[in-house]
Amino acid sequence: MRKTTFCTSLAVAAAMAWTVPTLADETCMSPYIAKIQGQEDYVYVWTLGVEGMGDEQDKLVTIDTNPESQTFGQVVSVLSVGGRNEAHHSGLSDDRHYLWAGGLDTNKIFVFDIHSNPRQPKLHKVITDFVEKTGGLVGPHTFYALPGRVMISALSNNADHGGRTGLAEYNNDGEFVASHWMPTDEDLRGAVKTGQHADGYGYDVRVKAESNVMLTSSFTGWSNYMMDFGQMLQDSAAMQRFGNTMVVWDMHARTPLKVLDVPGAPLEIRCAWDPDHRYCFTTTALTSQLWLLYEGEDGEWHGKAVADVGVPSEIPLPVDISITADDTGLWINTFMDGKTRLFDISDPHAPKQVFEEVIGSQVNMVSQSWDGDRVYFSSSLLNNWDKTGEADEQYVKLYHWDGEQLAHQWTVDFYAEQLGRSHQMRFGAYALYGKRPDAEVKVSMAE
Amino acid sequence: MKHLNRIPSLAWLVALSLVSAGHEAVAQDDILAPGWKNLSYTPPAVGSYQLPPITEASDGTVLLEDGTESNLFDLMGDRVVLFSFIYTRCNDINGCPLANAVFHKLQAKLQERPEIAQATRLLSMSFDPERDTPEVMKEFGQGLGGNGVDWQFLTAQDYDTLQPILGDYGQYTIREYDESGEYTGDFAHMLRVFLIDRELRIRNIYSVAFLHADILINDLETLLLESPSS
Repeated sequence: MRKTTFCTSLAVAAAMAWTVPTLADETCMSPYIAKIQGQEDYVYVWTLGVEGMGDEQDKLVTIDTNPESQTFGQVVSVLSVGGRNEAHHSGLSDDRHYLWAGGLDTNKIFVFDIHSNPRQPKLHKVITDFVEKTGGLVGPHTFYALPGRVMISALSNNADHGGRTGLAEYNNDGEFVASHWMPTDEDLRGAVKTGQHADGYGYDVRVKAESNVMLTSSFTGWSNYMMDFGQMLQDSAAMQRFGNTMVVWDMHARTPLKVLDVPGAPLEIRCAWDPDHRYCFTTTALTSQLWLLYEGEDGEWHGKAVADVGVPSEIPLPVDISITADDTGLWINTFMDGKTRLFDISDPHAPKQVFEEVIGSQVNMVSQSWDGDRVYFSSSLLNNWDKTGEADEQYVKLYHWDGEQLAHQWTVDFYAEQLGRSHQMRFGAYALYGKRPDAEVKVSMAE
Repeated sequence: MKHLNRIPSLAWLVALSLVSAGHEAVAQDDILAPGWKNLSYTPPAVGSYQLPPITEASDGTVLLEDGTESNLFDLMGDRVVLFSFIYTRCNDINGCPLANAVFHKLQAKLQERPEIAQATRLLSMSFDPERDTPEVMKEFGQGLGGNGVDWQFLTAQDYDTLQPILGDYGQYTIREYDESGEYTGDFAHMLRVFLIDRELRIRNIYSVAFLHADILINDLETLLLESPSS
């Protein structure tokens, strides 16, 4: 029987990873979130609608991922939300009852109920006043679970639609709690500028709880991420409008402490799980480097480039990354060449690439099970940045990883099924809610 | 109604013995939550940060240790409250025993800070009313409260009165069953502790990752520095 644990500290999660060999969950989630033991039942895919395809709407696509199910590897639910919003990232509440998914263009946030019936999510709530409530934040991006709350990193602002932005905190009922703007040269908000930049840009957010540290990275604003990719590359002014910083925050106080120079648009952040591993990683989109953010012996957080990803001069464009539960491996996807690469990060100061494989003509997101045996890939980056023509493949693919090779299991072709462009993947499981897909209920909610 | 668990759980006894003995670390240090140990960082200074209201606290009917019925709001509003959901059989060292141990550590700190103690109330409420009767809760809490610290142990009449409270606070629990389908008496649950101000607003929600006496007392003092209308 699968069991569910709700222990949520980094320390506990790491300890359980050592003692329970069948843990399964993606490894990039908040340390405050409920964890799944055993096989994930579904993957929820936040999908961009495509004009002229199907109902043309953004949608939450549910794929059956339980190999014991008769519909394994098939789409079992499609929930359209009305219109297109530049569907991008999604995240789970700490109790995993709800999936939050954002629209980078319309600033709408769609909150899906995934616990009442994990096979058929329902649209629970739509937040339509994100810009107004947050004091001008635009582009809700990362949805990161905190106890009873969701921290949302934004990409832009409504004053100039550039990259200056911040974080917004909502409670689990979808009510606004607070905004936390990024430090800038004009207003460092008490932070120390350690290098050349304090651009105030934002992208991802992660917490290293043992250090009481929150890290944010930086990308670009609405005026760029909604621009045609080819056009932007030819626009030298636009190419200057990318983030070059990461910010170290006091997590408990929600105050910025340090602004670090990390040139070239540092995107996804993944932190080590072992409580004694006081470090996180990111990759830079424009300079194709792997960076280590770490707590030094002086107790301060520092950043340094520790490896190249592919050949930086060829602009492979690192996108999503995924750390293994034992902190020894880091999957890095590169959008332009469609490859996934595995880096051995056993020595975080000297990572080495140990594997690479082409997943498709364009690959973006990667999610792996806690045991690392199952690795899921999806394809879409942004509506105006995805490849065109034959190269515009849109999929979710499942591979098995045996430690040496990826073995393809199945592909769901999102264009063939008239769904749209597949972006972020999040896992669901009946066991989280004391439910079973069959009639013989072995666990139940307390009445 | 069954009264199966008059004796505190083994995990709780171990936990309490560790706290009482002043141990900050044990051999199983790697599995212990931060709340069992010395905090590995310096928390932000009292009054240097904000605790924005997260949501409104919720009322509900509870039973006090003497069996009398009360409303949660009768126990809130006059003081800042730390509100924890537990059950006495809980054996997860980083679950309810952690919450109890951190409150116990906090109590020791409050005894040295009577000006904070007199403005604070600790509430530990069971989500297992079938076993955790008022009598059991009273026995469980004996020797814990008092000494200038208001620490009360609550339960509910039954699941019907309990469930709305759990739902309002997002404290979901799942009964655990063994391989033969028998209820083990245990619950899977996510540890949550709530900081509630005198205007009945939730100002922080603590998880295993940062439930620590040093943080709690700083947050209490930070709230008490506010003017009532903050």
